[in-house]
Amino acid sequence: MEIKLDGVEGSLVLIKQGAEARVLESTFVGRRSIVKERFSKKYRHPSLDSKLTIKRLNAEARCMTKARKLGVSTPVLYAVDALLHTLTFEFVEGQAVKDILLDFGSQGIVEERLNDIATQIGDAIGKLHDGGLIHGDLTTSNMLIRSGTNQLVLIDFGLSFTSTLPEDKAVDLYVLERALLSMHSSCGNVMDKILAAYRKSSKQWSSTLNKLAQVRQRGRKRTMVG
Amino acid sequence: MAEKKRLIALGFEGSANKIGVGVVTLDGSILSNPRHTYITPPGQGFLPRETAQHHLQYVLPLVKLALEEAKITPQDVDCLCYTKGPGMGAPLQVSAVVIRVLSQIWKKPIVAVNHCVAHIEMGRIVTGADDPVVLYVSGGNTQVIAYSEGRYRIFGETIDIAVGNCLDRFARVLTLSNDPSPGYNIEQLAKKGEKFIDLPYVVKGMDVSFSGILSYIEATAEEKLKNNECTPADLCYSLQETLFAMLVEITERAMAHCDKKDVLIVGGVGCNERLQEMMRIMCSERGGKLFATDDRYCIDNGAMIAYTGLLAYAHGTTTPLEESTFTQRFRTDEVLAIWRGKESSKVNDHET
Amino acid sequence: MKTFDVAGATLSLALFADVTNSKELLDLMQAGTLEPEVAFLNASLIPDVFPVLAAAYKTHIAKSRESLTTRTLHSELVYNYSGSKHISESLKRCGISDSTSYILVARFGASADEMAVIKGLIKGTEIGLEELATRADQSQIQKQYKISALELGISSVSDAITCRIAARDAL
Repeated sequence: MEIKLDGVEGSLVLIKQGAEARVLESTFVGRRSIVKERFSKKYRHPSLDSKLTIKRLNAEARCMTKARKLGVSTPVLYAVDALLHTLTFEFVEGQAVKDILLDFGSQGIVEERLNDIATQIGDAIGKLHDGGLIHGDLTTSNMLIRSGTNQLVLIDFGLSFTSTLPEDKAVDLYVLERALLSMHSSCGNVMDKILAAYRKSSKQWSSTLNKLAQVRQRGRKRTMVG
Repeated sequence: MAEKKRLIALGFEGSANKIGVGVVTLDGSILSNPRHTYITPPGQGFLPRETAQHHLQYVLPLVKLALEEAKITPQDVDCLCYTKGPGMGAPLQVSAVVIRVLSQIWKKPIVAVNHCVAHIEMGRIVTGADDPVVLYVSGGNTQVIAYSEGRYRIFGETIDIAVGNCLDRFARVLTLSNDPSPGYNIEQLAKKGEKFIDLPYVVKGMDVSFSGILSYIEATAEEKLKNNECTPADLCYSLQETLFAMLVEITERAMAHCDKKDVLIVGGVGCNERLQEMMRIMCSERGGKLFATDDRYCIDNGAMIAYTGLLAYAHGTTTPLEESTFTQRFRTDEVLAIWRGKESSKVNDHET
Repeated sequence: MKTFDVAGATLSLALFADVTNSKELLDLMQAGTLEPEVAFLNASLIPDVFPVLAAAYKTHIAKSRESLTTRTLHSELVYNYSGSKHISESLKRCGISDSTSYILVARFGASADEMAVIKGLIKGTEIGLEELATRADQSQIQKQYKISALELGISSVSDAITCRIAARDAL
């Protein structure tokens, strides 16, 4: 596969072809880096497509740097290119939480490690939410554990936005809860551990968790016919 | 030894505004599948009481018709299947009562069926889709589903109203006809739309939200039409483009998440040709295939209930008379899909 | 002095301490008679070269698309290093003033001769780039870039500056 991106130095190696972006490995002024290139989706109306592409590119750049200001680790942003629809950021060496939990599912749970990861997740989300930042796509694929330090790093802020509404925070948590249920039910109740850490981390935990209970009920009790 | 007789099921569907009775065999052959739809005047939705009365009026003639068309007698039937839920209470009750009576008169076992699972199984047998990500879109449901570890699991869904509900309610704003369905009339009008109006676009992870879009378009439509900023056709077109782009997006996210290549669209909104077209483009870009059914199967019908009930029956499941109840809330992932038990479930571990 | 590759171009950097003629340098620059054209950066705000290279990258891309915001390639570098959108404020803070004595000089595509001329212009002591880390004014940087203690819990000062440079136009 030939990959050409003007102005991006070094060789580019495709790591992942995602639903709306290609993720490539490269170097940025001497540092190992990731280039994430958003591409247009042909099924979408062209004006909707370009609106979403630019909106998400900017949201991701803005929110991943805002998260750092709130004390939540994300890759260091190196460059934003609005013309090529690319973000260039730090290459984080480490495993996705998804893969770690799937390994737990198949090879047995390492309780101490699971607790550490869940605590870091709850703590990080609490910090984001208190800072008025909603991640928007909290799945275990979007969380990495940095090799060596075991520090949690959040990625994929394309659906992120700022809000202080309990509803938005609750839905953020609900998305994660559902992702855990559908993917990692064999790991036990990871969400409870995450929420325990969230309560310690977020000053506004009470209104958010009350709302979460309502959002869950909505899911279960929704009239299925309209 | 006598040749093993083929299994035959009679199925009843009446969870919303359609009452249908179908006769099928285990290989998926549909011997008959008549139905009748309760159509309300333009600008009005259907209410439980009137809908149930409609179903009561039509259910027995439909049973006779279904048996006649299938050229069978009640003695040929192996099991009686009905929609246990989800749906509207009063209309659901009609099928549940009829099935209890027939079960006792004809001495036939009952099988309770989940409406959503029935859509999926009907879609699979009709299209031949083996292990797809399923987009289930109707007036009451919007779910992205995939089979994993014994159940149909919900990976994404609406966090408020269903997509069909959103379309139906917008049709009421424009007072479009409910015949044959409000969604069909929006689809036809949308074909004449030219101008794309910016609407909210709300995707949260693998979930979507439609209520904000509906209130936005409800609040601004009248003003925009009055000022000749756009036509009703433009609004239908823009609404479809926006809602369907959201649906295709979350379906694609689920495909990446579960590492599955194909998509099956089921449910009433699944008949929409523009939705199918958009989904087909997305699938082909991923090297997968779209499986979609036409309105004979997409829209609620008795055969899908009969077929899914028969799958469970063939695997030894029946519902005792005293448990043959109905419920408005019945999640897709509550059902243990025993008939898929032997299949290996794949959990993707490549995605990062 | 050291030269770096930035997106196919080169950027030469030289660091000077105890500079005594910053007023003269400033006047030359403002009159447009500084030859060759260079960027003078307030080195107290630079904890290491990486954020300067990130700003240079951004500058080079803008130049190649003929979309510079400021008048010259080298003023654009100073503006980009600031991570702020206010041009005059950026040039004032991240550039030099009459009294600046600690200066990082930068030039794109510099030849050896050009760098020799530049060194001749500056009355001060050239020191190694590795001195940046120890000489940087941490409190001034934190104030200028609004870097909180919370952020420094998970980030170096250099990375914090880099993020602001990269994200500026997405804000």
